[in-house]
Amino acid sequence: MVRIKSVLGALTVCIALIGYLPLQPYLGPFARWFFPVSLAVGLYLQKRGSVVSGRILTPLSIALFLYFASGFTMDRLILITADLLVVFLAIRMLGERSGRNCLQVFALALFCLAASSLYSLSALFLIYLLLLLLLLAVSLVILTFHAHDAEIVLSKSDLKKALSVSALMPAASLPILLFLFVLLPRTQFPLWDFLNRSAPKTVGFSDKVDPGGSASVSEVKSVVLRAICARVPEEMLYWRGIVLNGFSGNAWVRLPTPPERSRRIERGVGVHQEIYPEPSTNPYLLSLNIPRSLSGARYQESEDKVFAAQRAPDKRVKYDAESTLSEAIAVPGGIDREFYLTLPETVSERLRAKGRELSRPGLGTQEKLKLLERFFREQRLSYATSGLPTGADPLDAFLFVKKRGNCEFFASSLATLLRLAGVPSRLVGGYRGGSYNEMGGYYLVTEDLAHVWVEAYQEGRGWLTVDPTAWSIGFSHREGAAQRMRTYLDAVGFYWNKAVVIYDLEKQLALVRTAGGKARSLRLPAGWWRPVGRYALVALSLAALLALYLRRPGSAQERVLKRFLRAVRKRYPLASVEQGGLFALAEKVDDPQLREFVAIYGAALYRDRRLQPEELERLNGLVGRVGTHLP
Amino acid sequence: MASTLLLGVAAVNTGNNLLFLIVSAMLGFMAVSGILGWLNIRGLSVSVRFPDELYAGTPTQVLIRIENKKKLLPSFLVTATVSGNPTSFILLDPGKPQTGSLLLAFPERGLQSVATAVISSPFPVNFFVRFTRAGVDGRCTVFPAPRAWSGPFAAGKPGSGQASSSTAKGYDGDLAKISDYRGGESLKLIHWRLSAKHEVFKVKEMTATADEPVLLELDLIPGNSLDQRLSACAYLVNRLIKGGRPVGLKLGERVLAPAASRLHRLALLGELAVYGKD
Repeated sequence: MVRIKSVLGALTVCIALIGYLPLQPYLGPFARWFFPVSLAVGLYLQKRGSVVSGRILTPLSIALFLYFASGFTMDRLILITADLLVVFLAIRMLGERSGRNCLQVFALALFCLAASSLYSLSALFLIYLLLLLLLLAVSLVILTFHAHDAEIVLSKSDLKKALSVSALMPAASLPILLFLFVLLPRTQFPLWDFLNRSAPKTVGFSDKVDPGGSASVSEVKSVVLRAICARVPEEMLYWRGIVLNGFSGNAWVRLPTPPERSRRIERGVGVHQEIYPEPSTNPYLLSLNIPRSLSGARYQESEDKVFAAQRAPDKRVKYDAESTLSEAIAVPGGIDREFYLTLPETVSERLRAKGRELSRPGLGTQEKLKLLERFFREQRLSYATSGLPTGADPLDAFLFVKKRGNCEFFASSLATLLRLAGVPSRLVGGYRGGSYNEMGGYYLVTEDLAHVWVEAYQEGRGWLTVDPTAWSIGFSHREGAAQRMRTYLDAVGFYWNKAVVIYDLEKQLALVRTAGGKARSLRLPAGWWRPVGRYALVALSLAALLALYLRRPGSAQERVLKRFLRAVRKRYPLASVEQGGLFALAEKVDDPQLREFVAIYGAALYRDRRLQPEELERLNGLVGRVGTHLP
Repeated sequence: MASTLLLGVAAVNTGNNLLFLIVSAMLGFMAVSGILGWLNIRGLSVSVRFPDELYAGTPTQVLIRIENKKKLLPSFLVTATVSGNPTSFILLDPGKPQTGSLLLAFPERGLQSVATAVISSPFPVNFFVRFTRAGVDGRCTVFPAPRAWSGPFAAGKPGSGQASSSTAKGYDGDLAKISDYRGGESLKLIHWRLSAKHEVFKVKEMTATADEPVLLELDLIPGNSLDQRLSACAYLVNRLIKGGRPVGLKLGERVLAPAASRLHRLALLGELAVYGKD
């Protein structure tokens, strides 16, 4: 026997935990600790059979509400709400487990889960939601029993029945959930947008390149974007983000681009990408180098093929990009050479000498690039992310002293040397590489792949892509086994985002449109029914066979035995066939009808033959008598 | 419900799809719980069993038998209400009838019927209570409420002078004669004093008490109204027959011959119940 009250108590604790856990990482320290402490105290008190009285809890709730409300600002709205929800939940855990209080716990837990969706859009949410749904359904049913009679006690089998019927509810509501999720109307522009502001992320990609700023750079493995597209040769895998064309002191920054007119890139392989960037504070829309056009987002395109969104994609969005895997951006009208030849504030004497050496007349851009590549290789520069050159002239230290650096050093020294040699140049920031997820058919680009390379201007051809980092020793993009392991998990998260998080009204309409269009344009070829009919016939006969197999009548022999056992159980409830077999049963009960049945049945069974029709008739008669004539 | 609305507003206004997911889940849950609640009170058959004797205005225990005729789904927390009186069942397994009881009082005498029972249940979620009606088709005869009345039969108890002895042998009548013990008599009847004087045991032979049959004439029973007379009559019928006295009844021109059995008593009460109701 099980007391409904204790079942309800256990379920309430589980539900409160599901409310607390998803919010826990985002809570203030007070709420974070108050909940587990209250839960523990509540459980301890309950074990001792006492609760904290409402006369203490209500003033406590009011006091805590005032305390949190005093720190209220519009920016901290979500934070304070989340803290308050958890604090109220914690207070409820201290109090009496009455029906009303339990309902409050359920509602608060649901609100906590809802609040967690304003912090994190991870697929883990779905697991919490399904779990909460299941527990809520069961708890509400149990609560109904509790309301009927608080002291009700159910047998284990009755409780099992009640629980399984209540577990049916969430299972049956899943299809409705999916249906409603697709159908519920969305607004084009959220009215309470301030609720959606997510915390800024640390970025590997930045709009300023300042080599020597720190001795090491940390590699963050967080996801930058996922792009559905065909596989692209590894050496062409550059995701273009920003172009840095001028200086602020010694640091490369993006200055307003001088007017120039680049031509539409015609040559090269076109690649279509469907890009799902992670929320970030950076407004630049990334796409494969060199992007031709973008759609699906509001942006401003610059002549240097930089697409800046009107606002940073601080929530999940999706855009489409068309790129051409080309190595040059043609600029038929020419460029503002002076602008692209500006030098940083400090350039070391060794660098200037190198530049002078290259700027001698007679050398074309291609020759200069070749000479520079030879120079870089001869210097035996190695790629590193720690022990980087710092100090007053980090580029000089990189090229001639330490000879180690990351892509920023390679790119900015090459671009500076090119400018010294009279070749207009600029830096391009973005990402290099990405792991292709075969399962999902998309590239996963992570923050540690942030990269800077160079574009050098060659008269007649335009801006050429040059990646000096490739000239280093030990620069390669690593794709380990661990990476492959991660791809599966990542694919789950990706589809979660694609199907749920960025689902929108337009998609709803598009779905309806395509479905309508498909239905209208459905043209069946002549004679279509022949193959369809054949398949249908096969399917039907398979279904019929399956139905027959599932509903096959047990043999007459089995049935009579089943009936016999049932009748025996009814007549001799204490005798059990499990303890010895049919003969032992007949011996024990000492009933002539039973003995006769066992003798006939056993004779057939042990000689491995089927029962004769007259034997069967006799057995059926015996069973009838065992069942009806009670001793 | 309120929380679904609140979350719905939040979802629409923030455009947060996860909130939409919660709202969809809650709406789905509401729909399914509605269907489950509807199923819970469907397929229940209710019947009422009345006791043999029902008197107007007297609460009497009535049996309610309820059976879940659904194939698979058990029904939970079902309350069957008959004429405003409820009885509850925690769990009704399919195909396993259960019986509950409730106190029922009919204000009027005569042929009464209970046509429907209201079946209700708060299952699965205690936000609403669902109702349905089930035909019970219960018919019963409600006897007039007995009105204690002390008339000429007030002392009509055996041995009070009203009783007369019959010729049959018995235990509690008068002493008829003394005879020899034949081995079958009760020890109580042995006349010990006489036995001491004889060689054989002497036993007393007593007569059985038998009361004189009474014919109750409704029109002669005092009372302000027909119902009062019927009530008094019902009281007398019960009182006298329970006292072992054969009672007959004269209702207008109809005469029912006196008898003292229980069935006869119920028949008389039945006649009183419907008298003047046609």
